[in-house]
Amino acid sequence: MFNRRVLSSHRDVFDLERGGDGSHTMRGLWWPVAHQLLKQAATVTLPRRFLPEARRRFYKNVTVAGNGGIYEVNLDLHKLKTPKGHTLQIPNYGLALAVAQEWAVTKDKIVPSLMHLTGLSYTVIDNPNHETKWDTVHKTLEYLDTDTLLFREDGEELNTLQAKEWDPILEWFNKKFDADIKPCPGLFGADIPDPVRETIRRYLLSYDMWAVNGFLYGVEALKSVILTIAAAERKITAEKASFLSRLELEYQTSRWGSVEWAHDLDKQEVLARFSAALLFIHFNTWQATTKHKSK
Amino acid sequence: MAAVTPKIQTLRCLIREMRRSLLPHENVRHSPAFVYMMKEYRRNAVTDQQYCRQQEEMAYLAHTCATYLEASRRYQELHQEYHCRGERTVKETADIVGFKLPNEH
Repeated sequence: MFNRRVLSSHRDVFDLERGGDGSHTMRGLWWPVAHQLLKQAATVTLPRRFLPEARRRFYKNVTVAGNGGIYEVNLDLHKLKTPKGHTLQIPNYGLALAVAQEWAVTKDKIVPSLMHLTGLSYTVIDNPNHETKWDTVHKTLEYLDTDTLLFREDGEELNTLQAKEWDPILEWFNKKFDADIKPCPGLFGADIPDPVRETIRRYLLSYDMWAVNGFLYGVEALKSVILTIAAAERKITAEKASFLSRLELEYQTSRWGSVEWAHDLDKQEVLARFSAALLFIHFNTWQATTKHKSK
Repeated sequence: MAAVTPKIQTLRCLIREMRRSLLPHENVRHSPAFVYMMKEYRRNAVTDQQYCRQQEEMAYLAHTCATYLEASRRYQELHQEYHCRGERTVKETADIVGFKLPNEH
């Protein structure tokens, strides 16, 4: 967020005081104060613009290298590194290829916020908030009380549509977790009994740290734990899950018309985020074993 | 239980998306992603009729991959079309209402 510069010499301090050349932008540092600063290991924090120009594509080829359980992505000859500086090491070849694909698709400007798989890999490897798997699962479960599928419209056409589309998934979910979650009226969220919550927590904890981050990303995209788990179990496709999450919006736009630059944009964004999350989950839980038939 | 589109259609979608990401001189057949994908497809090459769990997993994964590539591409296109033009110039604004700028005569 802030750019730190070390005051390493007298010249730096003088330049700061005078305004200096174009690279020093801080004014008004007092010479009396500067003496003290020079005595310590001084770092000056300078605010940077929050909207820097996007980097341009500086590489020609993106390749994936590695073997065994660790794969790395290389941009020309330069290894891809996380924001903290660790090399990006991906345990799964398919996922590494997908990350490489994200970098290969950029035509001119590199926009990191649109590279969902890369961002997720960075989060898992760096763990900037020092979260354990339990913390991440706990964050995911917080969305369960206000799950999209549990909030119904009051008795109208939309209500019948919601019942038709959402009830089968809710039923499957209840059967799977031996629960009896019903749609809740009102604003305060569903009252999920503790045993049910713990069953779901145990289910989520059975995935590894990588997949659990994928779950959190997916739940945040759709605002629904039930839909994410249904998609992770391959009961519904990614498009269907994102459609169900935006059911009311789709109903309203089908009735009143949709605005391409807002509705379509939003639809593609939710779909991109959720399918990235789903890919992340599946690549990290998918184990291929081959059994050859004896001839 | 998932209604997944036939695998050939998904494969075609994936190849189409991959082709868009390439530089003009490259051939999609040589890209590692393509090679990996064909290997996986051939490994699970049983007909659509037979039910096999690993095959279903792979088909679902391929479908999600195609969805992701397509959605992110469409998002970029829409964003580029509607949100990347920056501000209107003074002349353009004047032209909207039919005014002429002062030093135009």
